[in-house]
Amino acid sequence: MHYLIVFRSLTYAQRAAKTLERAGILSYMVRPPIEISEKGCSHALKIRAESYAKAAKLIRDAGFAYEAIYRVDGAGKAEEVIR
Amino acid sequence: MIYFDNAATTLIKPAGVAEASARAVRTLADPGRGSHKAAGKAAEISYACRETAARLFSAPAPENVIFTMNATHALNIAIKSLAERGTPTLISGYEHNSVLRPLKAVGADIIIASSQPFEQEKLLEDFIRGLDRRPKLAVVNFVSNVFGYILPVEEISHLCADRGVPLIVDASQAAGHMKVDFSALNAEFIAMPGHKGLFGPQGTGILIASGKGKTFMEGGSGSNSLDEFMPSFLPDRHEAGTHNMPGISGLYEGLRFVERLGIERIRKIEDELLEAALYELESIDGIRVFRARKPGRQSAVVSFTAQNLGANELAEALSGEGVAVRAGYHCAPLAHRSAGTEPGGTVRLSFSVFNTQWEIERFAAKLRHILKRI
Repeated sequence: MHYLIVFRSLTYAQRAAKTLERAGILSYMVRPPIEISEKGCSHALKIRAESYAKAAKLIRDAGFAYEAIYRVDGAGKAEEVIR
Repeated sequence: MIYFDNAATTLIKPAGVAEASARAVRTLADPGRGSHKAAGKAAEISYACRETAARLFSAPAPENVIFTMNATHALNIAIKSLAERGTPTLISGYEHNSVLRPLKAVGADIIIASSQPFEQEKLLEDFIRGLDRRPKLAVVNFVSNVFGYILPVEEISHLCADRGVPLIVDASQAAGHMKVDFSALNAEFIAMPGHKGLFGPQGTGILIASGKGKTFMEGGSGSNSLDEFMPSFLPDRHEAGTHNMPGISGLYEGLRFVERLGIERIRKIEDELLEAALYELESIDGIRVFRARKPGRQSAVVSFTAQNLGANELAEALSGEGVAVRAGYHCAPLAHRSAGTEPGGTVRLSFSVFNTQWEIERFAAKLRHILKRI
């Protein structure tokens, strides 16, 4: 299982990744599945399940304009966690 | 060749700039388009470039750094975001055509605050008079590309902020030469080229934007593709189309060089070059030099005229002697009107940290030789 923090802007996603990195949370830039990308062509940070709670708090506290956060299970099914 | 035309573009670049551009041609795709390695690498470099620029110019965040083709492109975005037909717009008498022409094109109502070169106090007085006419926008050149005159931009920014007048700053001749602080200037936009004092390749520029602005060009942004309009968020809003990754890669190396060397050291080197040039020019009979009388009011750019030889003829003669300068109006007719150097214009020397005092002495010897031949 992993989480996807979805951003509309590549630059926002990059800045968020740097913020997480400074806090010791590794993330990986991916293109989210087209089904969860409302307006098309979003950018997501993939993070491990165990890092989710800390990462979500950091992102919210820093005021990053993310689009949504999804939990993705082992079968690849994505469920929105927070909007 | 002795190259004294750095105000047009820097020819000698720091080590790594050309290599970074060449490497980009071979290895980088477009950031934010594919999810493959070449796109990912491009995304890393473009973000690193934004981050470095944001740090150097005290921008709020990397996303406030917009890549443009040059300063002219950046100024067009800024001006056309804030000015339209009839917008009363206050400018200095030293603005480049990249400010004057877009304002004319939109039909703005232009108010000019002017003074002789280097007379900061008089310019400020005229600027205050201009502000009394209630402009809706102000655009000011940080440094005159003709005379190297450092305008009182910080004072002007305070005056504009007090009166709620949005400000655009043209930092074309300031970026990489002196401190340009976006947060201190309280500007809506600051525009600069990547290929002058920032030592990037031609085809690069930076616009630091406080907010959204109107789009100047629309197209693919690698984001929100299902939306038929440009994104509302920066920098995507102003970056339609494929990025110039060879340019941005080279610009990144140029920015790193400026950051490593430090603005203080750059300023010191350039001040010494300016002093050397002024000393030589003022020792030659028949030369009129346009210079600041108080310290700290002139960048490493100096204009002069010769009594017995036109500017263009003199520049051509210098070129024949292996010295590259620029002559004429320098795309800045307002500056020449302010200084009284119409018609004919001036010969301009403009230095970078890669120039030397030896080059200035050689130039002076060649200039004396040319003037003796007349």
